[in-house]
Amino acid sequence: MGSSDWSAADSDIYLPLRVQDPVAVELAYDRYGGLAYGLAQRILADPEQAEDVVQEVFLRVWNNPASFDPTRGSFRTWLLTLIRNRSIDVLRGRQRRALPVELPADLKDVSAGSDPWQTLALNLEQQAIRKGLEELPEEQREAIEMAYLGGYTHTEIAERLGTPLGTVKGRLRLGLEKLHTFMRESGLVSR
Amino acid sequence: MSTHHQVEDLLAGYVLGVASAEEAATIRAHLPECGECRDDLARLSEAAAVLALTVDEVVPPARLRQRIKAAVRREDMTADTIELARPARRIGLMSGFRSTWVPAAAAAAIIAGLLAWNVRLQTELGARPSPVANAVVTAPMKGAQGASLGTVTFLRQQRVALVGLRNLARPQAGRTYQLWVIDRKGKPQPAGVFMPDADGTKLLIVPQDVSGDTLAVTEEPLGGSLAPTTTPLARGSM
Repeated sequence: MGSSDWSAADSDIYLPLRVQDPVAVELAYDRYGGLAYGLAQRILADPEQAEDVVQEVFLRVWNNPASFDPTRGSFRTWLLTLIRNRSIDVLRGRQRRALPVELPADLKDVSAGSDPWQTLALNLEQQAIRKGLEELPEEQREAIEMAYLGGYTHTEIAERLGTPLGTVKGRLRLGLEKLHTFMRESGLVSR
Repeated sequence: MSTHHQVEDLLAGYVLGVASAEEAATIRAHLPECGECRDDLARLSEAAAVLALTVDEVVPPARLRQRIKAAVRREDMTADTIELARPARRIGLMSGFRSTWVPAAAAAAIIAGLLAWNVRLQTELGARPSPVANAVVTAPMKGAQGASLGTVTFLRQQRVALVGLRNLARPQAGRTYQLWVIDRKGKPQPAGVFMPDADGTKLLIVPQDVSGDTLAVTEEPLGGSLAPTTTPLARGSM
């Protein structure tokens, strides 16, 4: 599937968001609040902090509607990237850093659930992606989860696992490559 | 180790957001000159982007919705007092907006993808694949005197309806088309406003169960209406 085909996904959120219609935030929350809260909760393991992160990010989305560019990725991916990064910042107790205002240059909509099926296809999509992650060798999955959900740096992962730095980098790369291959074979991405 | 190999090693950590500032700077400096690494970055980014979906959804406390809503309304009111010339909010009428338009090629890909995926997943889960005939219901969208204006295809398993319209004239100035889902009791629910493509066609996706419902198209003022104000120019019953 051509990734650009899905650029209309969530247009019912981001179009009114551009003119700062408050309804857009409520719609976004109703559609992705559970995912956002689940992700923040998983990273922070603290319901109150998770609530704060979700509120902060949704307000930032409201206040910076132009920072989302539908031609560069899905609204859902963008929103969850904000949630993940802010959660990691809180987890690590870092100084507040600027939230990313754009996705990596080549990151397009990649998933079926970011298309107009919206939440109705989410469960199917999640099943497929979880299966892909579960099929990774344990050490690769562990390294990826430590990085993504724990925010550990290469060096920190190496120290915690007692493995050489180069091995950690290799596991992250191999794991993501395999996950991508799984997604391609499942029809979730085209390239 | 060359810069290229160094960047190759770091890209996964970069897309996972754990590269140090120094590593990130090295990567950013190298990318413009290396197509191979840009391709790698795109691929790895796609994989990293879906990791959020491996986490279970958790229903947030009800108060969180209220907190966010109140905070947004507060900031909205503040902004209104300092910014008098804000864009018109006609689009706000789209609060009940449910459908999304898609290009024809995308619609075909959606149908094929949904069916293939559905069958594959069910097979993997050990279930008997649903016969396609039971999974898809199609009804005509008819206009005045029964003229064919397209079809509605409902994918039962995925609970999504695909509405394909054709032979649509351009609405009058200041007007737009609006799609409605009318339930068995005759209550219309707004499902999106749209303009036809230059060739008079339009493809819409309605992500909800429309079993037993009627889909209808009316002409409405720009921005849409909360209830139909004109006679449907096309309708199809599932």
